[in-house]
Amino acid sequence: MAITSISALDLRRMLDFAGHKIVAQEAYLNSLDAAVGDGDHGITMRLGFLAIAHALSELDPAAGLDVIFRKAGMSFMGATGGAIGVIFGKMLVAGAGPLHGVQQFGTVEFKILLREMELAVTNTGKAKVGDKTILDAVHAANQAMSDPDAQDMDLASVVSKAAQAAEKAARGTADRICRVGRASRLGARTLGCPDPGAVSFGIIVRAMADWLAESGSTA
Amino acid sequence: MKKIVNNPNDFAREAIEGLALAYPQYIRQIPGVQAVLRRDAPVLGKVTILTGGGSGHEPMFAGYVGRGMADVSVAGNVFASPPPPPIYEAAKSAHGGAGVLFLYGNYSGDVLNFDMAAEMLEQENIAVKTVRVTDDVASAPPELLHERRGIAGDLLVIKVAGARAEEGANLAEVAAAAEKGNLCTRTMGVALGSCVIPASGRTIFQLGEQEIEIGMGIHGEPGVQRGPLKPADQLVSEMAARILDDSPMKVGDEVAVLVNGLGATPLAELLIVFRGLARSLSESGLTIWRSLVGNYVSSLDMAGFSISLMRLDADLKRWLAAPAETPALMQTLDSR
Repeated sequence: MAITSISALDLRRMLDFAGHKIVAQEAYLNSLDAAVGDGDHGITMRLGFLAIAHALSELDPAAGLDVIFRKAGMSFMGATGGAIGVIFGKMLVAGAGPLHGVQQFGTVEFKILLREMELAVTNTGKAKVGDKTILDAVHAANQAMSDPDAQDMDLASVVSKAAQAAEKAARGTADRICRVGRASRLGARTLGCPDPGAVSFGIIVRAMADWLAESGSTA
Repeated sequence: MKKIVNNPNDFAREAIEGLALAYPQYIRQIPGVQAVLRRDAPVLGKVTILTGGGSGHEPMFAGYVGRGMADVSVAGNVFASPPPPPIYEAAKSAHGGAGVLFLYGNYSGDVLNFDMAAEMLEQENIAVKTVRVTDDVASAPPELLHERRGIAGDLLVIKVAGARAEEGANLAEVAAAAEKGNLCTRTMGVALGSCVIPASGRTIFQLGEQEIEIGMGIHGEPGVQRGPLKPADQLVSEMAARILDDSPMKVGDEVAVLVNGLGATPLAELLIVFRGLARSLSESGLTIWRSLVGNYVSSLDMAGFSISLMRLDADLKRWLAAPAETPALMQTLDSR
């Protein structure tokens, strides 16, 4: 039986699972960053997701989606620093606003989350789509949600579709020249390397899809 | 690559703790926060100068906390801006009731985090103004001055702002002094080799045995050109020419000079640089008023140096000459 939504507690389990997947990719993410920056993106993501796991473990089991996303975002931001700390932290916090009082995470909530995340990145940084940043992956995932075939899917399929779009966009950043942030000074030297932030976003959404595919049947 | 560390993940925190332990006569650490305050903070009625940024540039930023310079400095991890919460905590701990000037180098990560901390403070009706140092000539053309990076010029601008705040100026006046100091300062750097990032144990770029990079940033960002290593005097005169081309200096102007080592270049080489620079500036009709030569704003163990020039007027001279009591810059009133 395909599921259309999961509980707030399951959402926390899914975020925890995504954190493990990110931590497992630490060395790879560091190596991507070393090509265009100072080589610590994997470390930053690990610190951020460890902080999320710790913060969520202290939450009331009855906490709703808005509390979860705000807590996750603020703890990520507080533990990391750098541009990605604020940008990814604000992406998570942005999910809190429209999900106030909501207890079930389903396709509607997932689409709202992606929409709010894209708005948060756009409003926070100076990046536009195509500038070789995390925005490219977030935008692609969000766009994929308006496809006609994304309308009647179950949650696992919708998240998987978003993951596919995000991963493809993340790979595509390799063909782009970085236009914002510290790496923008590298100009054409950033060609050939995917943006680490975009890759991270793909890993996270893919992990969510995998968790849903495996755990969803028993949920 | 060999490094003297315990756990590389603790690099930034342990460096700040070491600084605070070494210089209790000037500074103290805020418990549990990667930030140091001047010993007698908060100084009531004085505008608070808050600086900070990624670690790895020691003694910048925390080394310039103390009377006459910054009131408080917040350290992020290596080459990464600190997050908003410690910046907010640090500002609250240091605030003397006359507002806070955020003064730091212009990088997108720092801008995002410091701006967010400023918003948090403003929600509590603490006045914040921000001045970002943009002295790096190589990082953007003159028409995009506000997009340039802040590098060694941070030191001169913090000195100016700190002295202005000690004079009892209000927040707008201190910010104006910092802005003036920034606009009068230009820096050009050159790298001979990469630093090694403690967490990865790896270098971040490669240069050939006889190759240098002119205009290199303090995090290893590439500069304007790679080229062959040249005799010191020739290299220095080319760098000075680039700075003078970029700045509104004219014959007869007085300048303050900072020849800054990036961490792995011996002082003797910096002195050879200064010697060549003194000749170049003299030939251009500029008078050196005061100079600093040493490792003031480093980039871990990067080999190379930068040259900063600040074009002076009577105000800037007064502020640069004012006393400073900090771990990395100690001077009594310079009245000559």
